[in-house]
Amino acid sequence: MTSWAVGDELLPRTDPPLTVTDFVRYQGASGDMNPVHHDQQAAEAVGYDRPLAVGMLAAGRLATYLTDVFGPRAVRTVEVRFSASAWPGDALTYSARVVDVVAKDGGRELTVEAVCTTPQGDVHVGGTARFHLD
Amino acid sequence: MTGSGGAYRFPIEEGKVQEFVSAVGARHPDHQGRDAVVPATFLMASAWWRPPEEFALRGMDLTRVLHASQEFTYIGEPPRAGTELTVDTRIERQWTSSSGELHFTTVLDEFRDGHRVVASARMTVVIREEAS
Repeated sequence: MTSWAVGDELLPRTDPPLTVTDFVRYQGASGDMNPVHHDQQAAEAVGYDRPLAVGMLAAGRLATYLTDVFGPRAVRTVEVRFSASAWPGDALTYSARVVDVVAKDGGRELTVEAVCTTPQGDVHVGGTARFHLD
Repeated sequence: MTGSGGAYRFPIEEGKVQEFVSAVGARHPDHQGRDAVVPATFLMASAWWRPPEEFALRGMDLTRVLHASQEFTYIGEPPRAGTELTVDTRIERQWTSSSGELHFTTVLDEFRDGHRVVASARMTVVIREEAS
């Protein structure tokens, strides 16, 4: 069992560039069929040059970037905030840091701050998650 | 626009879990098998089971709605494939920015396994008033 401490950082990960197919796959899985994420005409109708990324896709990848390390059974809360838009072709980078470790319910509760950034370095999704470890 | 307060079923199916696991690129082995643990943001897929009249944002032009924030809370471990949850959805709060341009809505979904609440999801969206 890894002994996590405040200040520990996870190895950052950069995914392949986003594609509209990624958006469609996530939208089908989640049931959010908002056309601005896959339909060029719908995107242009509301002022975008092209379909914009689904925020919950990066939020989902940010959460699994963490649960791949701490375990899916350990997660207790995930809170995300959406900031800069992302677009097809953007290779998003995920990084995270342990910000708190406390004893709780016979184990430890870790608080982790995580961020998904665009190739320009803007925050696309920022979040906080809590994990219960034995 | 306010939900009627009715509840609806949310069966957690193995195939749907795998579809979601693939979409978000989850790699942990606990996501595999008949009793796969759902990914941390999987509760979004309850949208597939939500009756139209329970959609808290109905009537809004969704192409102009932006997702501002999202929270998931689990009481204990996240649910597994093979479980059937019941969802209660309601608008928790609506407010307008001091400038009057941004209209926020927070929707709270509570997920029950029988009578026990096992998880919740809180979504905040924003609509910007169009410049005239």
